[in-house]
Amino acid sequence: MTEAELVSVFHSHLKITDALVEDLKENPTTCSAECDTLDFFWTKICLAVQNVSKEATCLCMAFSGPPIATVQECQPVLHKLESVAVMLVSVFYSLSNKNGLTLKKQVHSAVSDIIKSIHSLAQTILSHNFNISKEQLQKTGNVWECCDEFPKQPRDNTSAVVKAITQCQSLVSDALQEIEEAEKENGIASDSGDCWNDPDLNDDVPGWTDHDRDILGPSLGLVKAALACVKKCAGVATKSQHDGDDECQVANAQDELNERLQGVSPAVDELVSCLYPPLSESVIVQNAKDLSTVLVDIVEFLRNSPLTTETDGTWINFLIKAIHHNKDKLYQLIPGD
Amino acid sequence: MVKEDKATWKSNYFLKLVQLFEEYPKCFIVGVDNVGSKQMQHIRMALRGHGVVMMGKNTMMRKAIRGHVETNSALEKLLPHIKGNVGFVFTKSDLSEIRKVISENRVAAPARAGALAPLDVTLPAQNTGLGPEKTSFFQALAIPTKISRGTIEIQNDVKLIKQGEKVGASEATLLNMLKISPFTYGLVIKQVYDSGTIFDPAILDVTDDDLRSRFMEGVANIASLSLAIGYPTVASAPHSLVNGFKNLLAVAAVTEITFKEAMKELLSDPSKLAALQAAAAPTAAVEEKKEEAKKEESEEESEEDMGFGLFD
Repeated sequence: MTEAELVSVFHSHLKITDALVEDLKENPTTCSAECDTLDFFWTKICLAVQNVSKEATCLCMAFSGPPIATVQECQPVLHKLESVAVMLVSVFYSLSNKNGLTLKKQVHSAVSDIIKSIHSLAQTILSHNFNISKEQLQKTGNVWECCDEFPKQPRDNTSAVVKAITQCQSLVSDALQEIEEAEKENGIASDSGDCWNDPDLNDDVPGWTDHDRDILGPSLGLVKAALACVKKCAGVATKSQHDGDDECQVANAQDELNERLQGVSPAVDELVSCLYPPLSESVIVQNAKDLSTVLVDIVEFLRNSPLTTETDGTWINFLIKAIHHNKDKLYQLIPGD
Repeated sequence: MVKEDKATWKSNYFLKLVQLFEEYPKCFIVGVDNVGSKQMQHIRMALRGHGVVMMGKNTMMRKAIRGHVETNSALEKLLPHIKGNVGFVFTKSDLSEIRKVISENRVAAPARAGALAPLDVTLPAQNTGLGPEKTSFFQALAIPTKISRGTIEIQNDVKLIKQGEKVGASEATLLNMLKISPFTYGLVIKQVYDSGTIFDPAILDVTDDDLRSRFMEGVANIASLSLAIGYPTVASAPHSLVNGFKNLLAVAAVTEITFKEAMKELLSDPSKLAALQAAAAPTAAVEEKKEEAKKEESEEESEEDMGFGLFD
C-alpha cells in the first residue's frame, strides 16, 4: 500500500517535471520579459541552480538505502525539488531578448539540461523500485555536473557568440586537418590507429587519381577560406567596443552573424566528406557551391553590419575573391557542371 | 564475409551509423590515438555481444548525425565532441562493465620518436646486458654508466622522459634497445552518451561516499546559517547544544558552581586533563612523540654537522 502511494507521488512529480521539459521545448525567444540587470539575473539563476543541485542530492539521499522512505518523508523532498525547478525555469524566463538571443539560447539549453536531469533521476529511482542503484548515483552525478557547469556559462551576448564561433571554428579546423592528413596518405587509411578502420571495408582500392588531386586543390582552398572567414568572425565579435552603436543593435547583429555561421560547419563537412575516393564530381560541385553561398552571405552581411568598419573592407574583399577564385577553378576542372 | 568496395561502403556508412544510434541507447565517444588496426581488432572481439565499435571520418560521422537530428534532437549535443581521432562504442549493457572491457584492452607499446609521452619514464639502475660498443647511446643522453663484467650497467635511476613532452629519437632508440615499452595505448573514453544526455566519464564513478559528502556540505551550510541568524534547525541543534555545554563548562571553571558533567577535578588540574586527552588519543600521541623524537634527532644531527663543518 505504502509503495503504491509512493509510486503515485512519484508519478505526479514526474508529470510536473515533464511539463517543465515540454515547456522548455518551445522556442525560448518567442517570449521576452523586461528583466533586471544581467548581473542580478545571474545571481538569481545561479542560486536557483544551486538549490536544484541540493534538492536533487536530498532526493537521492532519501533513497540511498533501506528502509525505503515513507510517503510522508518523501513528499516534502519531492515538493521542494519541484518548487526549486519551477523557480529555475521562471528565473530563466525573466531574461529579456534584449540581452541577445544567442545568450538566451545557451542559457535555455543549460536550464533544459538541468530539468531533464532531475526528471531522469526521479524516473530512475522509480524504475528501480526505490532501491539504490548504480544508475541512480550516475543520474545524481549527472545533475551535479549540469549544475556545476552552469556558472561557467558566458555571462553576456558577446561571450555567448564567441563561444559559439569558437565551437564552429574547432569543427571547421578539424575537417580541414582531416582532409589534409588524408591527402598525405592519398586517401587511403594508414595502419596505425586510423579511424577509417572498418572490418567490412575492402581497402584494396586505389586512392585519388591525378584528376582527383586537381579537384582536391580548389576544394581545400574553399575549406581554408571557410576557416579564415570563421576566424575573422571571432575577431569581429570580440571587439568589445562599437562606439556610437546602440547595444541592442550590436546584439542583434551578433545574433544574426551567429545564425549565419551555424551553416558553415555542416557545409564544410558536406564538401569534405564527398572528397574521399571514389569522387562524385556533380556532388562536389553542388557542395562547393553551397559552401561558397554560405560564406559569401556571411562576408556580405559583415560588410553592411555595425560589427565592421570601413577598415575591415580590405579583408572582406580578399575573402570574397578567395571564395570566387576557388569556386571558379573547380568549375573549370569539372566543366560539365 | 564479402567485403564491400569503397563506394558501397561509403553510401552504407551513414545508414549504419544512424541505425546504431536508433538501436543502442548508450555509447562512448572514444579517443583512438596510437591504436593500431590489430589492437582495434582485439577490442572489437572483446566487445562482441556487448557492444559495437564504430569508426569513421569525423566529417562523415557529423554529417550522418546532422541528418538524423530531426528524428533525435539530443544527438546534436554529440557534434562538438566529434573532433580529433575519435570513434564510438555503442552498447545496451552496463556502461561501467563496457568501460572495464575497454580498459582491459590497453597494450604496452614501444616509445615512438615524436609521440607525446603520456607519463614520466624513469630508467632504473640496472645491468643492461648490452656490450660496451653500445656506450655511445647512453653517452648521447648523458646517462652515467660503467662496464661491469663486460656489459653496460646504469649506475643510478635516470628520469628519461617527462610527461607531456615529445619523445626524442635517442630516448626512443635506447628504450627499444633495452626492450622497454613504457606506454600503454588503448581506447580513451572522452564522453558518455546515455539516452539523450551527454556527460563526463567520471560520473560513472560516483559513489555513496560522494553522495554523503555532498549531502553533508548542504547540512553544514544550513547549520552555519542557522547558527549565524539564531534560528534553530535540526542541522544546527547539535552545534547549539555543544556550544551551550561549552559555556556551562566555562562558567563552572571560574565559579564555585558545579555539576556532574563539569568534571571540576579535571578542569582544575591541567595535568590530569592532559593525561586523559593522551589516553583518549594514544595513537595520535605516539605519532606526535615519534615526530618530536625525529625532530630532536635531526636537530642534533644538524648541530653535529654544523660543528664538523665549521672546524674541518
